[in-house]
Amino acid sequence: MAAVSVSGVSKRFGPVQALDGVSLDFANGGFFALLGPSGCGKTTLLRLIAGFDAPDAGQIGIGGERVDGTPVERRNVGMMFQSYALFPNMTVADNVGFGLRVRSVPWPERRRRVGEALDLVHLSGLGDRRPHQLSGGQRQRVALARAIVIAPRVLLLDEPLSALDKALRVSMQVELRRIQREVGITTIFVTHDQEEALSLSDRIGILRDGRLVQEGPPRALYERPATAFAATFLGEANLFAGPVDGGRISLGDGAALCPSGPPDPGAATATVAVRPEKMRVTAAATVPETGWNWLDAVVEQHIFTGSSLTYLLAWRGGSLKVFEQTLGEAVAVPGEAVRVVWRPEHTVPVMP
Amino acid sequence: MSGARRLALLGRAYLALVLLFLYAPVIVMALMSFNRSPFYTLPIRWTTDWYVKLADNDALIAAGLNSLLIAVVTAVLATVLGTAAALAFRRYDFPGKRLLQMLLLPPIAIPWLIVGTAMLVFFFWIGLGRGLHAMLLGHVALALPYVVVVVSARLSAFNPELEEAARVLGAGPWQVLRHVTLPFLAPGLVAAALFAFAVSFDQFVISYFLAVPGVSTLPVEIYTAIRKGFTPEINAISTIVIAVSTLVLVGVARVYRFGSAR
Repeated sequence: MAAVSVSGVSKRFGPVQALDGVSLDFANGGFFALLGPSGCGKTTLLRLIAGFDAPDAGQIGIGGERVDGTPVERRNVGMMFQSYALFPNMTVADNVGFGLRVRSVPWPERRRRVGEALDLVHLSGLGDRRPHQLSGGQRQRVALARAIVIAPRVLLLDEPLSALDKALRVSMQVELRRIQREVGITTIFVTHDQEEALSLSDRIGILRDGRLVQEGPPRALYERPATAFAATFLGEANLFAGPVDGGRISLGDGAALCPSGPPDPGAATATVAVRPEKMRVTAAATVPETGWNWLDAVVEQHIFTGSSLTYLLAWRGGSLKVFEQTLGEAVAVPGEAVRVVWRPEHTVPVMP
Repeated sequence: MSGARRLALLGRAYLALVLLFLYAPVIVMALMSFNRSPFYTLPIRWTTDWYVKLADNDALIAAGLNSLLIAVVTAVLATVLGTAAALAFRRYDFPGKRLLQMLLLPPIAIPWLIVGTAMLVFFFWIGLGRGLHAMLLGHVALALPYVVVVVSARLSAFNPELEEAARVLGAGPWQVLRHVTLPFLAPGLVAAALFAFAVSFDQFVISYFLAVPGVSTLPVEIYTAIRKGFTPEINAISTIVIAVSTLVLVGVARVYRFGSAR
């Protein structure tokens, strides 16, 4: 059973349609990322689940129970805010214990559970500090401990790592995942950082302009994006569009791409997406393996980034991107004409 | 002497002058309350007679207690009402909000003589008349805008996510107010209450208009006494008032370190 289910939820703020008929099920114990550019409605969805706002249409259920009329304070959800929102007038232990205190949990049990929560986030011994005496990473751990100590039905994280610097962010990602696994709590995580979404979550939901674009496990979303937007927002992609001709996408000049699956049968034109690392740059006039897709382009630039090499190629007035592992082979230089080849199964039809 | 040093010296002289004008009259008054001569003659011959006499001056003492009572009640009422108003201004959008916010400020600028006359006329017109209750009403009305301004200033630094965090953790509206919002506002509330207390305790014009014979406040009583003829008992009670208010302010400043980042 889904821990949280959202069905047909819409929300409008004045002239802005923040959410438009979004339906999503969040599986029990899963780690779910809501990914999208700013203004896509992901934070609005999180706040609707928490109960800070009410949807204009649709239903929200937590633990199989409709929560439409339930106020925030009785939904029993944990939430971590972007600013962490630690209470400045309380010690770390009092911050973590706040949810238990307002639930009238007796003092000895409260103390034990606060101690356990601080252990879990590796902050035992700092219970007497005040929030302003902590580093950014420590504050975040306190906020996390405070959110999970009440044993909430779901944990909501609003861009929890965006205020940290890069190195700390990566170590907190690992930490967050460890804690989530240990506690086994259903987690919904809002982010605009696709890398974060890919590396942390079991499932990702991509939102755009208040609508759910696509939802699924990270690998599936990456390999089989459903739309051009999903392809370019989650990772990078080269897009090709052209008329459909005998199951192939014609690029003109007799060149045509063979897609991984049949394009939309009724459509006259189709768009396909190809991931840059799936393509290979070979010498001009190389005969590609049978069935492979290919096209001829000119190297504009190559950028060496250590373990990999990025080619920027000029093709028909547009630009292509190819990632290649640096294996010590010959490198095409700017101005050189090359042939780019890739397998048909990496040529994914997408909605434009 | 270099220009910078001359400037520094000038600055110190200026500071000394300001302090002199601020404190010299007060200090002279305090000294004279201990002087045997009622006519400010020097050298000072020390005595505490005036304080002993003051203890027998029932009118002054009663007026002092009235002042204290009105000021404390005003501080409490104005702080509670003003804080509620500041919270409402911050949290809700309602028709007429801008107008209400604008209406808060003119009473601070309107001369007290005019406000006092208006109140006197109005209170008689609605049958409220004069007396302690009328003075209290007048003082609370007068102190309210100060409280709203001071509390709003503090509130503007409040992160509303703190209240949301408390709610999501299970706190109802009153618990949020008690455990999160009010503790954050505390320095502002103390400052606002002090303001309200001072506005009331200092208040002469309105109290003078709204007092009835036999029930007046300290400033009114002092004024009446001076009109009958100055006695050094006035110095004595004034010195007590100065000492108490200075001690309270120093104490509060130590607790909350006004002006410095906490």
